[in-house]
Amino acid sequence: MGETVIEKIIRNNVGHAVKPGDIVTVNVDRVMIHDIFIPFVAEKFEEMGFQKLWDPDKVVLIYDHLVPASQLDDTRHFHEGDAFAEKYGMKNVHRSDGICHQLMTEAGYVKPGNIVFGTDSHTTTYGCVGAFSSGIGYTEMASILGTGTMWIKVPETIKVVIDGELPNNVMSKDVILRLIGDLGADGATYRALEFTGSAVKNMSVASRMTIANMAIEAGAKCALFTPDEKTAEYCEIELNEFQKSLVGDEDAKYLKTVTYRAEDLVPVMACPSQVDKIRDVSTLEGTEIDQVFIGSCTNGRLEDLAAAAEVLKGKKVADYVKLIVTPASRKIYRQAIELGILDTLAEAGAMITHPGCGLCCGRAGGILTDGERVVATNNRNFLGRMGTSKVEIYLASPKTAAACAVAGKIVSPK
Amino acid sequence: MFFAKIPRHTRQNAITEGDLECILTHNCEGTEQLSLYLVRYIRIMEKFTGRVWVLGDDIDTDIIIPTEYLALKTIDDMKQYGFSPLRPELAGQIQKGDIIVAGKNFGCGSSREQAPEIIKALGIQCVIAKSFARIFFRNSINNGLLLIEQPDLHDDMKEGDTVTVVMNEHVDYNGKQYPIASLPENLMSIIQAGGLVKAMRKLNGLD
Repeated sequence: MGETVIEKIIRNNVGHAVKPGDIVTVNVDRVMIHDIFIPFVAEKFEEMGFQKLWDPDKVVLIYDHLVPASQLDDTRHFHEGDAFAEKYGMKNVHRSDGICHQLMTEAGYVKPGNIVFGTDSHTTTYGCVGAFSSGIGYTEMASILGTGTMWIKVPETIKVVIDGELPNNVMSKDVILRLIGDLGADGATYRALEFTGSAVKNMSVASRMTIANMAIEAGAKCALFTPDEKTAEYCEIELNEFQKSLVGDEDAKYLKTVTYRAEDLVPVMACPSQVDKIRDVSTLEGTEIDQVFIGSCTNGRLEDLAAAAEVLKGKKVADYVKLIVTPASRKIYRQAIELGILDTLAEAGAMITHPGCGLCCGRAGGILTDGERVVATNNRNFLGRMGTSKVEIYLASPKTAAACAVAGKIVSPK
Repeated sequence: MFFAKIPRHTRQNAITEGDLECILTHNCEGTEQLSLYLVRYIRIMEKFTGRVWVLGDDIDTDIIIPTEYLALKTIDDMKQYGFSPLRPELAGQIQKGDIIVAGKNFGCGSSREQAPEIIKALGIQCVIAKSFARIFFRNSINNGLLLIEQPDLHDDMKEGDTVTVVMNEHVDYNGKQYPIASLPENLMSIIQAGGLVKAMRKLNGLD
């Protein structure tokens, strides 16, 4: 009997074959904690009675949601985080380098085949390099910090096949939005999503990251991409035999298979206020907007900024529209400066912010009020996510978002 | 820590914590009538009655507690903002012992553990929903918020009415019985050992 990718990763970790439904205890390869939850993790960890971390080098602490502080009590999280890191000998602390999900692969903490947990639902992102990664709460994080282990149930897998060539105005964001619309916001709850097909093979690791990032919006436990030469280059490693083997077998058992022809896909948006309320952009054209946000762990990477710059080059953002651009990490920020991308964006009228979660979680730099509309490249359009509960959030790709910024209303990208 | 694998949906057999997830998953497919309950930390009453607040499908964690309030110091500071994007007045109206009845995918969204903690702090004694999201489900186990999965009650439920939960058997509403799964004694005993924090304290020889 063949295996799916997630079954292979878990087998490698526990040392025996597994099947969906099995409950196993895995040895955790890496964990990520971010600034919002570190005080709670620290409190639970000490309440549990642990004296030391199971392996300080495997723990990564990242300040991103609250950086730089925008509310009076925010800095307390940095002080408590620093104290915890100091007390337990943690070296992997990032205080202003970028968004956690960008840094975990960018800074080399996650490799293909790893098992990783984080105190954030978008931890599914690291599936872009073929790692099994998933979000957990702070109590479970505290227990991993002490034991290095966690119990999991082996999930069933839904296979997503995308063959062909994506149209020029369609990005991987449109692919994942379409899939979420088709599966529904709970369509993959507790399942693994495994992506394959020629369109997926042709995607950059950054594009795969966008897809893995949003797998949680269909409820998925994780999203997995087969590591290939692009993965190896991105991770700066040579793939070993195990990592090369992370392909779904022909005779593996899948819960179901969903197939797309890349040429059929079109630019889409998730409309207020459900991630699975997907509409073709062409049906929404003309809707007036107040703001555009390009950034986040979903779409704040170099290729996203470059795509936006290409649309905005030589043009101006509509007079009454605010365009906010937030690179996902300091590294991306600097690359975008070097390549002239930020200059192009600034010239077009964009406000460029420091790397971080910022506006995506509605805490800083661009929150909106009743009746306002925003086109945004992040991952959630929940009620109240970017201001009041009467703000309308439309989720879109960077190309679509940039085109909307110029037009001052919803339009399809060229 | 309880890792043994045990047949699903076997009322007579011992069920471990891990199996709760099996049961949840199975239910999500809608292939079984059996529904879910899970409890930790809490004192399990055989039977309890509560006034009901009705919420819809996909009640996400940003609705349960918006990110802007997550840096407040305590759950008690945060709880007044519970459900504020959807129903700003609700947190002030909920009284101890009330019950939430919701649609599918309750608790979807972020991993914030404040979500089940706030629901508990508001005095809600259990949430009965068509289904629950994965991370919220685990977080609720770890924090002792009672979740009951029931596919039909939500469609019939009128806000302000009361329901009676008979643990392991059914929910009584309006003269009708809505079946829920039984909670095996072995699970009860595990639950009564305490939540994840207490399990770890035990592991470390503290309790």
